[in-house]
This record gives sequence, C-alpha cells and structure tokens, in this order.
Amino acid sequence: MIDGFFGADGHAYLRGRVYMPRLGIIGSVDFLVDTGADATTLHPDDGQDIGIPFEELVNPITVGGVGGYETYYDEPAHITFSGIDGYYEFEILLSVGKPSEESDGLESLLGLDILNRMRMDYDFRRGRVRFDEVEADRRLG
Amino acid sequence: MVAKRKGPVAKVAVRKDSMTPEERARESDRIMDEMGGLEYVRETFALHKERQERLSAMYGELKEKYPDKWVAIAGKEEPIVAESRKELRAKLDELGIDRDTVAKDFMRTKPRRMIL
Repeated sequence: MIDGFFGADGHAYLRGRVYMPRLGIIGSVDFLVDTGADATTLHPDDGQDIGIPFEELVNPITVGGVGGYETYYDEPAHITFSGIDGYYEFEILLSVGKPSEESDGLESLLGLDILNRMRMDYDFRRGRVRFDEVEADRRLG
Repeated sequence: MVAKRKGPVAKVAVRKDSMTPEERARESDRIMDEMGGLEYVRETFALHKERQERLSAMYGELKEKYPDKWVAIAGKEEPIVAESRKELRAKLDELGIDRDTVAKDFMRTKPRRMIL
C-alpha cells in the first residue's frame, strides 16, 4: 500500500524516486495524480530540480492537451514509490518537457500508464489518497 | 493528454518476463543500488514523509506568514522561504540540504484555474 498526500493547492500528489539510466539522473519528484493524463510526465521545474540535461533529450513526441500541442521527449525511466510493505518500481517511458514559457510552473503528472496498474482510494475529506493492489514491474528492497 | 509519436520509437526497457527469479532479484538489487542503496532510499522517503506531514499541518499558518512564496521544510528549524523554485533550489544547495528529503510547496493565496 502506498500513501500519497494533498498539496497546499488541494490536489493529490505521490512522491516517486525517478531513475533515468541513460542520462544518469536520480531524484525525487512529487507527481500530481492526474487521471486525465495518458502518460506520466516530467515538467521542467521538477526536471531542473533533479538536474535533467535537457539538451541531451531525444525521441520527440507531440502531446496534445487542452492548451494545444507541445513537444515532449520520451525517456526510459524507473519510478519507485514507497509503500508500507516495501518499494514498488515501474519501468516506463517518461515524457519529459523542456523549459518553455508554456510549461513554466506546471506540475509533473502521474498518468494512466501507472495509475491503471493500481487501485486508488481518493478521499479528500479525510485527507487520504492511497494506492493498493499495485502491479509494479518489480518490488525492491 | 494524448501522446502521438513522431520520432523513432525508443528502445523501451520491456518487462522482463523471461527472467528467472534469481535474475529478477539481481536486477532489483542493481536498480536499488543505482538509486543510492536501500538505506539511502529508505531514509529519503522517511524524511520526506515526516516533513510533508509537518508541511501539510502548517499550510494555513504558512500561507498567512509567507503568501505566494515557495516554502520548504528541511529540518526542525524555520522553513526555508523563496520567491521562486530556482531561488529555493539555490538556497537548499547553499545550505547543503539534500533536495530529495525536502517537502516543499507554493503558498498560493489566489486560486489558480487548472484544466489538465
């Protein structure tokens, strides 16, 4: 079972440890739980926090949202979440956004590629967002 | 959000269903080591959890005291306050604080309309 938390903005977040082997990047990111996002996405503010070398990104993809289309870059990544009974690791293609005016201030998103592999118990009134029945690629630790 | 690929498809690390249990265990150990080792990962998550709980409990007070500022809880001391994420990063680095263990949030006073 994995616990998320509610941010000051009232949105639900889940902290993950991101490991990107090709770029040699490891760092922690608070992902906004977003059932409207197909893919888990790393936005530039968080990317800068964990030291992404944006100029080394390859594999561009076009991503459409309400605000229009943006270019992101697919990067193989391992994302690990801490549960009360160990660590759950997902191996995904993380969509990484480069810094731009449009993406400034955007939260990184936990999308359906991960959310569809666990059960979510969302209870804002009790301040609880919890995940169980997790089908991770690996259990670590 | 809908993704359309236009570049070459990355060589995705596929699920390694063909691995033996021993190979899987070795792979798991390797990934954990790459992430800093079990002890470090455990400590990082634990510190963040404790700090995030403190930050959440203080939202009201912090919003009043530091409106529209970035605030980070990094220890028992006073919160670290900055105008921007960039400034917050610089302050944490200057103080030698591991960014991975910090709970941070923007003390927004005006609601932002977001459609994602």
